Parts: sequence; structure tokens; C-alpha cells
Amino acid sequence: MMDNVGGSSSNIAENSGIIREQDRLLPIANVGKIMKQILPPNAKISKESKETMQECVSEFISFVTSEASEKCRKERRKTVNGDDICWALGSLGFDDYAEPLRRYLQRYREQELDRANNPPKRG
Amino acid sequence: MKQFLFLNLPDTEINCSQVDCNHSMAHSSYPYGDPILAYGPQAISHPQMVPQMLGLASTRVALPLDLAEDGPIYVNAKQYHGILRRRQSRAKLEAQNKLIKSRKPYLHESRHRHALNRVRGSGGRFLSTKQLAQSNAEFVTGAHSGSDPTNIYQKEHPLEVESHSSKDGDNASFITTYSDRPCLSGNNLNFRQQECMFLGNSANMSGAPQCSGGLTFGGAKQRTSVVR
Repeated sequence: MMDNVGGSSSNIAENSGIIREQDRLLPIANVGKIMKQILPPNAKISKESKETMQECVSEFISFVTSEASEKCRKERRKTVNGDDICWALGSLGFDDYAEPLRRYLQRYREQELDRANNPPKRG
Repeated sequence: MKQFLFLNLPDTEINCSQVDCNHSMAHSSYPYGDPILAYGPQAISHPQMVPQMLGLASTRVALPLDLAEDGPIYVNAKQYHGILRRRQSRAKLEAQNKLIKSRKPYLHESRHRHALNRVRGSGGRFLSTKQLAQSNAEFVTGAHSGSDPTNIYQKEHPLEVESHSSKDGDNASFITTYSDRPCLSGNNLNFRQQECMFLGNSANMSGAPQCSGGLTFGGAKQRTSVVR
């Protein structure tokens, strides 16, 4: 259990620019909570399932983001925005997700506008 | 890259069950959607998906054979270039040895050491600070019921002081409580507790009996009742 050598090599790896687990993957606790939302209350999720889902969702994020980034590169833009993500989902065939995400993005922007127009009062 | 593909193989079977899970979720969320189409990227590592995808009406494109050793893998045409791009990115990272292939059992060394030092109750669960204080109070009660009136005050007073001290203080309080009886020395007791922690880490259920074995019958009984 007391893996000092592993700890040392981990420190060395961080210096050499290796991508750490917490930088490459979503937090496993958050992934577990999201998975739990769709399951019945008494269901249990093995750690192996959560780790596998971590890999899947992280790869999916990279997959969609690279598609959006490619579009921005062609249009010589540097910022990937929400519309690019929605376009990328449609471009990759995930139309069922692109439409709800557009509606979510629209509602999110409305909230941002309300927040900007009505700044919270400082007590 | 083959090594990466090899790492993916064990996940293939697991992905199958997850595809089913996502399938049911997608079906409930989007009743008119095409769930198989939505999970194209997972098909690249799951050859059994090929027959299902062949049944779809949309165009299918065969991926290069250098990575698919068991024949061509057909994917959604819209995702073809994206998949190739992601493969190049992963290969680039792997060439630079930037991908971590084996996951560590813990992320932070200091947190891991802290967890090793925590006291575990029955079933291997950690005892909270409140439960620890309650457990010490139970020991005081146990000593009270088993001693003559003169010794009650003498033994109760050190326990109250030591209940706020460090873990070594807890060991000392144990020794003080049973000083009149043949018991383990300080070092042996400390070693036994470490053994309990080790067993608790390896097997959750086997740790509890070992910890209880170190105490008298009355003390063990009260400790169990406190935890439950």
C-alpha cells in the first residue's frame, strides 16, 4: 500500500509533462453520480463501470471537441463556442443531442443576459 | 497503437453492457431517435456491432485495416474523419509517452496516508470523530461497572483527559484500563492495531473480528453496539 516509489515516479512524470489522470478524465465521483441518476435507488455501480465510463465520456468530449476545433481552424477562428459544439454534434450524426443542446444553449444565454442586466446588489 | 488497442479489448465486453444501458436511457429520453447511430464511436472497438450497423440504411465506410485485426470495421460516414483524427491524436500522445496506461489506486499521497491512519469500525467503515468519542465514553462506563469504588475515580480521570489526546493516548488509555489484568504490552497492542488496519484494507469484513478480538468480551460487545 505504501507506494513511495510510485509517488516519486508520479512526481517525475509530472515534471516531464505527462498528462495526469485528473487532467485527462472527469472526476470519478461526478461520473458515478450522473450514472446513479438514471438507475433505481437500490442499484449499485462497480468501480470498474465508473472507470470505463470515465474513459468513454472523456473520449467522447475529445471527439466532439476536435470536430468543432477543426471547423474553427478552417474558419480561422480561435475560440470554440457553444454553437460550434452544437454544429459538431450534428456533423457527427448526433442530431438527437444537437437539438436539445441548442435549446439548452439558448436558455443559458438568456440567463446570462438577465444576470448582466440585473447585477446582484452588494449589501 | 496496437498496445492501445489491446488495452481497449477488455473494455469491449463492458462497453457492450453499457451500450445496452445507454440504449435504454436514450430510448426513454428520445423515443423517436436512432440509439445505435448515436453511439457510433463505441462501435469502433466492438466488432459485434458490425451486423447491427450493416442493417442501417445510411452509408457505411470501412476504416483502415492496420488497426482492425479481425476485419474491417464499418462506422457512420459522418464520423469517419473524426475517428481518424482522434486516432492520430491518441497515437501522437502515445508516441510522446504522455498517456497514463495504468491507473493509480489513489491520486494524492497525503490523503492516502491519512486514510490509512483512520480507525475503522465493524464492517470496515471509518469511525467519525463523534463515534470515536462515544466509543471512549463506553470504555469509561465499562471500567465503571467492572471496578471497585476506590478505583473508579482514579481510572475515570485519566480517561477523560486522554480522550482528547492523540491516537497514542488512546493506546495508553487502553493499557491503563486493563492494567490489573494480564494484557498485551504497548508495542504489541500497537502492532495488533496496525495488523487490524492492514486486514481492514485487504478484506473489509475480516478486519472487524480481529479488532474485536483484542478487547475483553464486555468491551467488544459495547463497541459493537455503539457502531451499529
